[in-house]
Amino acid sequence: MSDKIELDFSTVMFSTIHDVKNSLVVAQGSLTDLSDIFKSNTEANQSLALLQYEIERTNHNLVRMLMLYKLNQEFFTPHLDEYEVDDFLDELIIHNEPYGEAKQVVLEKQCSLDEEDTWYLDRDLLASVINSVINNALRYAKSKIIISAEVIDKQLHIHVDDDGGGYPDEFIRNWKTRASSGFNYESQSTGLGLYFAEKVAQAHVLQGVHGDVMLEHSQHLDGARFTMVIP
Amino acid sequence: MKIDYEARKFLVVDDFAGFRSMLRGMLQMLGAKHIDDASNAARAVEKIAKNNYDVILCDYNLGSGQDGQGVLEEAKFRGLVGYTTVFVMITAENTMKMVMGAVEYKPDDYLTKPFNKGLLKKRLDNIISKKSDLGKILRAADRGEYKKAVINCDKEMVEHPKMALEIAKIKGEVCIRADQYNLAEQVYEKVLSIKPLVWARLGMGKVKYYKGEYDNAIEILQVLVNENKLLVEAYDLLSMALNKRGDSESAQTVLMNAVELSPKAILRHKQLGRLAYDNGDLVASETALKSAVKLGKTSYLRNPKDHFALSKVLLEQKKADEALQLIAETRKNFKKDENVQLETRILEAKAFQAKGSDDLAKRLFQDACKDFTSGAQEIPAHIVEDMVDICSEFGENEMADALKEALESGDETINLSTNDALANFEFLRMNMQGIECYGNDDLPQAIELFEKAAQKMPKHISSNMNAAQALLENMKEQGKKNKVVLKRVRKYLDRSKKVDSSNEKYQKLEIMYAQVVG
Repeated sequence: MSDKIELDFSTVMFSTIHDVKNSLVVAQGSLTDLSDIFKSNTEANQSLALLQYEIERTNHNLVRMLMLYKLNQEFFTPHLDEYEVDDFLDELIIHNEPYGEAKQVVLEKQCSLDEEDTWYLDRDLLASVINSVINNALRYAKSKIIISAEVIDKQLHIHVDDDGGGYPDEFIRNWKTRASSGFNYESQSTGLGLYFAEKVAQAHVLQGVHGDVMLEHSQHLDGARFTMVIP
Repeated sequence: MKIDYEARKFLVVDDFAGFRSMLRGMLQMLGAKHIDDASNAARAVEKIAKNNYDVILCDYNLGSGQDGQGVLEEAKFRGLVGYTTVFVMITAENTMKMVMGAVEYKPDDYLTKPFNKGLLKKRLDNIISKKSDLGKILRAADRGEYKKAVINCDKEMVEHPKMALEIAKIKGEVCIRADQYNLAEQVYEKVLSIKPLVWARLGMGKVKYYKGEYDNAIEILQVLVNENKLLVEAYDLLSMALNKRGDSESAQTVLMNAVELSPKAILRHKQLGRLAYDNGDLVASETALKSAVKLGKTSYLRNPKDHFALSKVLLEQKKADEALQLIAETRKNFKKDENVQLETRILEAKAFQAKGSDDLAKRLFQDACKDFTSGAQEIPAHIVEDMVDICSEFGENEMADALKEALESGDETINLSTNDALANFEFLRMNMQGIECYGNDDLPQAIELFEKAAQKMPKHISSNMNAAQALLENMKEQGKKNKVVLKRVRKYLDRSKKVDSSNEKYQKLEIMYAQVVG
């Protein structure tokens, strides 16, 4: 017989995430204060930028782990509602602006939809995927990231373009087959991130049509383009 | 629209001090001057009750006690926050939000941690300006003037065509509140013809339920539940509709799923406790009611009725000791409530009887009887029902009948001193006590009690026969005739004859009378 205590792992995970997130929020707050204090100190600012970037990355990893856990438990339902697309892009920019500033990368919004045009989507779920993509793009971008939205064939396309050189050709050709084969990925978190992005896209269904994820070379900037398609 | 943060009152609720001061700092940077905070649900509700906050930022996870949803539900339930108050729920992870209560208990928006000052400002600005655009509708709804709110919805739809969906959502809700189900149906139909939005489908399910179209409601809600496993409100409605259709077991299963999703929602536990009890599933009923009682400890929704329901479920399962413990706790928790004290005596008598402590049980029953006859107290019908129950158990059928008659009025509370059926209650009790004295060979005392009862209740055969019997026996014992007393005996016998001349006991008493008269 074992005298192991019965632990409900999901409870452990939820409460840990709650706690860690609180810590992250406070750490982020302190960082903002510090950046104000060290405004003129370039060296300090670079270190702070790195810290800020890593905090955001930790957060994305936490969220992703939780989502994938839920997915695995088949407890994953998107909450689709009507949201203004332009507003959604604004929020993405606002969320990432501090990181952009720290890395001296400009974030630009291009929305070809009217200001009041709405789309049927899970705002928070989508935001966590795209924020994570932007976070990743910030690592490679030299000076600019463009977040844009357009409607093609009645489907909403949200793009993130960066000027960071782009994905290797081989990766663009093969990522989908590898993502579908699971987690056995040499490139670790990138693969997990894309797997998660695909799941979120597929969770958006309208009249039998599922969402999709595309990776390309950016036509606008010399770099990568990530696209999320929402029916 | 420029939002004036300085003029507004804010409340920040989070169990984590670091986060509270962070959020306070953010709000100050946005210009806010009046900011309160609270570290748990109970304190939050206390502050909301005392202050008129414009904006409440509340974390979903508040440690032990109620969660953020509990704060919102209690505040709305008690009318402490209305449509015009801004309530934003802050969550650590963004898939939690669907495990939430009814539409009317939904926050205005959710914010997922971590967020920065910019995003906070954007969300708050959005909600506040929207609410100010819809001010006329919301203020009317806050005052409970739902018909006026509906008219305002139509006006605003013309004025703000871009907010049509937003307004339609409010209009549907307000129509249901105003009992205008056909109008609500039209609203949802129109929205659904454009897009299958979850809130509109839910609204449609609700309308069908209220219109009594249970099959339609079940069909809509079943699909919703299958697609949105966390949409607990759909479970609630589906359970209600299934129950109305007579499928109470499926109703229970659905509700059990919902309870699993929202383990802190007291009202749902109560509902499940009741449903399972009606289904004869005492184990499930016990579990649900235990949760309701436990959660109620820290909530405004604490209700002694749940304690009593649980006591009964325990007693029916022969768990008398556990029931007694709960009853003692209930008595302590609701010290000032006379009716609760009365009910605890009734249930305690039942529990001791179940344990085989008959004397103790009888004494407690007598105490309860005294309470019932002591005067002007208004007693809730459910307590009277329990009293009927226990009277039958103790063989006091007349008393039970009198109480039953009083219950027939259908009133929620029964005033013992003014109720006709209970006017004789005190004398019924005397008759009962008389029987006890008679059993203890205390004839003089028994006679006094029986005669009092018989005089007041000329049509009450039992007390008249008892009075006659006791008087006759007393004369037999003393071996002498007393004409005055015999005249009284004759009166009681005549009355008994009038009520039921075929009564066996009456006929035996006539023989006894003849013997004594000689």
